[in-house]
Amino acid sequence: MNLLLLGMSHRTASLDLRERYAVGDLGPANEKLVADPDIEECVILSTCNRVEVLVLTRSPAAARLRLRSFVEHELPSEFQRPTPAELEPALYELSDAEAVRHVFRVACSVDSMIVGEPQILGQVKDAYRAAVATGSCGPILSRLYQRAFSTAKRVRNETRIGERGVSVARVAVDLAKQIFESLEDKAALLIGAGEMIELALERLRSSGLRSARIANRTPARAAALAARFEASAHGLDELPSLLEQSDVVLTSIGGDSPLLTSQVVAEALRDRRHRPLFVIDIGVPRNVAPEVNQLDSVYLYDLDDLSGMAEANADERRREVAQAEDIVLEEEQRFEGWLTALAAVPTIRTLRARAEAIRAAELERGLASLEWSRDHLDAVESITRAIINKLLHAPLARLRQEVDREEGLAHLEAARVLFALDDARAPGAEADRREEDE
Amino acid sequence: MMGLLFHQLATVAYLLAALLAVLRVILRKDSLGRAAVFALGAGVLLHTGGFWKLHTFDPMPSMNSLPMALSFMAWVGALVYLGLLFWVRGQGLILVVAPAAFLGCVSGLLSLYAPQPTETLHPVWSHLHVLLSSAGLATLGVAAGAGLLYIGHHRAIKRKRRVVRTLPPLESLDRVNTVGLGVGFLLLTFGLFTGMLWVYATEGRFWEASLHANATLGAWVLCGAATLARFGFNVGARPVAFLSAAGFALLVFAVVGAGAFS
Repeated sequence: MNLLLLGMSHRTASLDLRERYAVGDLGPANEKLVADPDIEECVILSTCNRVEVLVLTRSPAAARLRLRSFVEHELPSEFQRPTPAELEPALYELSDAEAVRHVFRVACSVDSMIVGEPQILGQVKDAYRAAVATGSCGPILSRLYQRAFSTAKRVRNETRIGERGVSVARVAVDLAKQIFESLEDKAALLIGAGEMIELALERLRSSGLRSARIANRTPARAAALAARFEASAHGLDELPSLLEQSDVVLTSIGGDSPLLTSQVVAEALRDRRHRPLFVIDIGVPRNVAPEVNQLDSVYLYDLDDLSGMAEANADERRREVAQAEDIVLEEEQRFEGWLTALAAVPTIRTLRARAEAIRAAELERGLASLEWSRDHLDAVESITRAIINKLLHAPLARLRQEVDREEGLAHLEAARVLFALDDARAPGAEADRREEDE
Repeated sequence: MMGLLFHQLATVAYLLAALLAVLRVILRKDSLGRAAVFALGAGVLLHTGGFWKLHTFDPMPSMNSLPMALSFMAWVGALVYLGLLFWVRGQGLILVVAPAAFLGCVSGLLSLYAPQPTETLHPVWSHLHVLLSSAGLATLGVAAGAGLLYIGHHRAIKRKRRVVRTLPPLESLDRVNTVGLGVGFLLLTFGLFTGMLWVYATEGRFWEASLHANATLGAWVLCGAATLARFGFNVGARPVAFLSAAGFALLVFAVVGAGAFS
């Protein structure tokens, strides 16, 4: 049994090429691929940053050809098929241990564009579920993906790879959580109605913020955004009273001079009895005078501050990658051990069957001329069985132990050669045929 | 000697809580923080048992002695902190509370190995004074701990430095500081008042001009100013945190340090 992975990712393929492989429903593609006699199991992963097809096969050469043809002709839609010249440099092919490690690295977000981002694990889980639903994911790939999910969990728990935010919006929300106990009972004031404000509002809402007010020069735009986010819309003339009622202020609005001066904010602070005020200024040029940060209960962060923190967090995540790789390697070896142990099962079973066949045949021949009572026959039967069991016990136990180690496969091979398990003319070989028939 | 055993076990539980709190910061595992709170809770229960069984000692140790007062402060401080946890997200504060509880408990434990009877005049006033003042000091200690963490955390956020993510948010620290200050100041006021009555009963005057009494009065004024600023004038959290920490430091000097100087 071999694992084979063919795919492309943000590291190897342009967005233009990746876009052509955006597969909405993975079910039919999985079904089509697993219908091929050379492919035992398969899982297809398709996200905006990568498209990968993992298959389990008994005939790697044939499966490789099938996979190439599938990725080239069947996976992209009919009118968007890339030329071989476009596709070839973007594709990577991995097999066996490398493929296992790659699946683990992807699930752990070590191979992501933004290292440590949590979405990829959900996408891998979706791909796995789609494959299970169509029946293309069998016991081996199921085990591989379960192991990948637990590896991702280990990496999350044992490293700091996803701990700190690397986007401006996430850094702002993380900072808000360092100031306020909860965002649920806090009110936000958003000044402006552009895309940045929309993104930030989305993030704040998902972090539990309930009350939001949007103030803009053009009240109609504020009203349109407010309607979408269940917020209230206001004009800029209401700023002093809005400031007094808000705990988080986010500004991104055009203008040459700062909209919030030290004096305006100081007055609002007095009215709000010095409760803390978190001001995030992502406007360029800045909407809030830098002196505002000198006011005692105000925490002012501008775009440079947030970007700097996001960059520092990204550096920290990259430093955590080495530790994550160690975990991936450890889990990969564990999975390989399981796979090898699986390979040992047929050898052990064949060896037992051969020994039993020889014992039964010799007993039958030896006892044919003797007229023994049933009790005597039973006694001889159990004695010979015990001899076989005792003889086989040590080598079989050793074989089971050894398969977990690197040289396990060599021991398996040695056992097959020494006991002539692959020789159809060897004594007891008819037991193999009987077992196959069964 | 159940009393001694309870104190020993409480000391171990507090130490465990302190170690788990430190490990939580190093390893950044919330489960360690929860385990630390659990260990602190177990310590408080055992410590309560220890106080409950004090009468079995012969001679019975006096709560007027400094080591036992420190042990009592540790118990009150840990209890106040656990009570506050139901109300605020202040798990990170255990980093201050657990080691302080451990040290207080150790001091009481050491004195229990050779308890000395303390003969005092007017034991009711003296005990009320010591117990109320100790409870006030412990509560103000929790407030000061929260205040100091607030100042550090506030500074880190203001200066855009890396913040310690295991610390409670500023809002929680401010809330602990405010509640601790209010309750602690009230207890301290009662402690001061009963102390004056004790002095009056023994010496016929309300004020003994000792370093202990004067330093305590100074601490009371500072804590009173902080309480007034917070509750009366809505002054911001940072100045109040400074004042409460200064008041507590002076109070510690009055209780522990004044003896060395006088």
